[in-house]
Amino acid sequence: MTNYSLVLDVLLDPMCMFLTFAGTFMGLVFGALPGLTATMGVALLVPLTFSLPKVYALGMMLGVYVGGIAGGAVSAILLNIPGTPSAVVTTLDGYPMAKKGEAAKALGWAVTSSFLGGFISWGILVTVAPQIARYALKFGPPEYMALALFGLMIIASISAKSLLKGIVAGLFGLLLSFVGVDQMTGDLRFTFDSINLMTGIAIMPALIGFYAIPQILDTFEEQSSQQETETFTKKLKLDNFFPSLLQIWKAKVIIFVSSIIGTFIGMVPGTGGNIASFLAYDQAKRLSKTPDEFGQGAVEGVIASETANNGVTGGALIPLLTLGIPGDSVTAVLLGGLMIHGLQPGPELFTKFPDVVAGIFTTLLIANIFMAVIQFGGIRLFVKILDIPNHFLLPILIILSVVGSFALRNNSFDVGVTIVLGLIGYFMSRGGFPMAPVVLGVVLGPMLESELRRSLIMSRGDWSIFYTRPITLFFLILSLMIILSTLYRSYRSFLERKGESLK
Amino acid sequence: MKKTRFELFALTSLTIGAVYFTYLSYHLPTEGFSGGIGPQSFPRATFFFIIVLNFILIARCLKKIPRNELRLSLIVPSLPIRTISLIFLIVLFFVFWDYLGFLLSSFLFIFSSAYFFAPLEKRSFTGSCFFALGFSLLIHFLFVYGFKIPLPAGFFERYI
Repeated sequence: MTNYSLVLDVLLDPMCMFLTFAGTFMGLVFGALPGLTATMGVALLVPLTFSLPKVYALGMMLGVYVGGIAGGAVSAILLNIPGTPSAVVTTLDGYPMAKKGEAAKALGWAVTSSFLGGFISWGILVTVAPQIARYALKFGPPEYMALALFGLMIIASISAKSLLKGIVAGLFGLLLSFVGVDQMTGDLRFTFDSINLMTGIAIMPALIGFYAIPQILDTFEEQSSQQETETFTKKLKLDNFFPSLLQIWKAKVIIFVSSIIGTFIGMVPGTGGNIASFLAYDQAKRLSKTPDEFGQGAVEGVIASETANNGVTGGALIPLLTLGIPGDSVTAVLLGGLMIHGLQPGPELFTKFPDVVAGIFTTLLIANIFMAVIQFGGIRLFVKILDIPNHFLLPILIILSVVGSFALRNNSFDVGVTIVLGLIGYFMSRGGFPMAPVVLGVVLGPMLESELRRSLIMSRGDWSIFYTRPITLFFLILSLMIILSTLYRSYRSFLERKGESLK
Repeated sequence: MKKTRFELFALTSLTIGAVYFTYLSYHLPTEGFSGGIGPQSFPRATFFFIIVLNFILIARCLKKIPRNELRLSLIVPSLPIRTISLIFLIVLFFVFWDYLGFLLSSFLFIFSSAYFFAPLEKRSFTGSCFFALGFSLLIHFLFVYGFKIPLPAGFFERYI
């Protein structure tokens, strides 16, 4: 009963609601602008909320978190430029949908899926948080290695046109991840005596480079500005962007599976929305009756990606609140925010500060609702971006990309990295190489290498560590199954092609 | 054929890069206290796979080209002058961004892109000028005063 009254206190406090709304709005702006992430938004907000009461401050920070993750879909769908790393997968089907004139539908589904993903993970957070957190914390180096390897197997799913090119692109991403100080020995690798390269190639400049610059150059080259705008807006359908309950019910399996994946990945420390959305996309493709449509504008792809990356929000809070261990980079900053307000996350948080816990649970849900309301209200406005003539839009995007990559570390070197990788990405994408595997390689490469080596140090060089631990074995078997099924599919399509050519 | 040119260019560049990085990886320390896996192991394996797969892809690519059309210049992709100009502008913007500062360099970049790349019938000097100035100021104020993220001030440093 006391808990209900605490929740009501939060719900009936207009100032708390206003600050959560403001935080969510700010998060959406951060998410939509390439280069500005939810982590940065929360980090900027921590000092500003210092003087606010605990629940107000946390509500605002959670609003930025939820909004920051969801907002990435807007630029991913409309411009093929993911606003945040977790929106990379949304581009795969969201942008093809926008090209077909279904931008509003894709945005509608992205908002609905984000809300449902956030809502389901919130439900899991408030009901079974401590039990699941204990399980997720059994992850050691071998489990992380197996998870990273499993994540890399998704390259097979996202390289629809050419598996070999997808693998080469993924390997190129891995190559980039080797630059910098070796995490295990401290040796310098491929730094060319540059101090800037010692910390490696940051994910955000690489992401902006590989997605924004090639896309801008492609759009610029392929169509004249007049034609491009006309094709986009002529086809644009603005009615029925709100998915019906029946449509949502039909997508229930993908929504449920993606939410669970998002929540679970969120709970595993050191992971995040990008890994969750890749895994969910892969599962959605396997569950779909029309897997061939993935990558061509399948709405299930958008649903899986957006449900999973917002599912991470509730999941990442589970180890943070119950054990004081952040699930991803945003919750690491949130941990700092909690501590600044004199709160030590862990079991005692629930007993000593029930009002704060009730506040966190309530404002997280409210932030998800605000996120959906603001985004639905803004869809008609967002799609107006497509009306801007390209000779105005493209320089804006270049400036935002450059400023976004600079803002991360206030370092002009990152801008150079963005431009160089952008040009490499342009030539690669024109040669038919998909960009998503490159990003996957950059994200998962360091985890795969360092955790494999850490595992072998743990086992004193004994490789059996990878098949004697159940979770590791589970992920390795899954990875093997993906390899075998991909080889089988390739062999079958080879036989079909051969059969057709003989006819 | 245009796509094949880009494909060949990307594959050849990646292969040359991978060979060079393989060479560099032989200068990395080889201590393998983690089951024989040292700092050099992952890079070497990756480069090896890139080279092997690239050769397969290059062979596939060459199979698509008729024998009488095979020539070395096929690995040089042709880019339209508009694209080369935009790339040149982006590089110039980056080169001058620290010296001129964000405001001036972004104004010049946006103005030149918006003016020179606009269709002739829509080209407007004052329109492009106002647009470039407005957007540069908006981003400057949003980041510097809104998000508290300092942008390069260049020689405006004394005044901003």
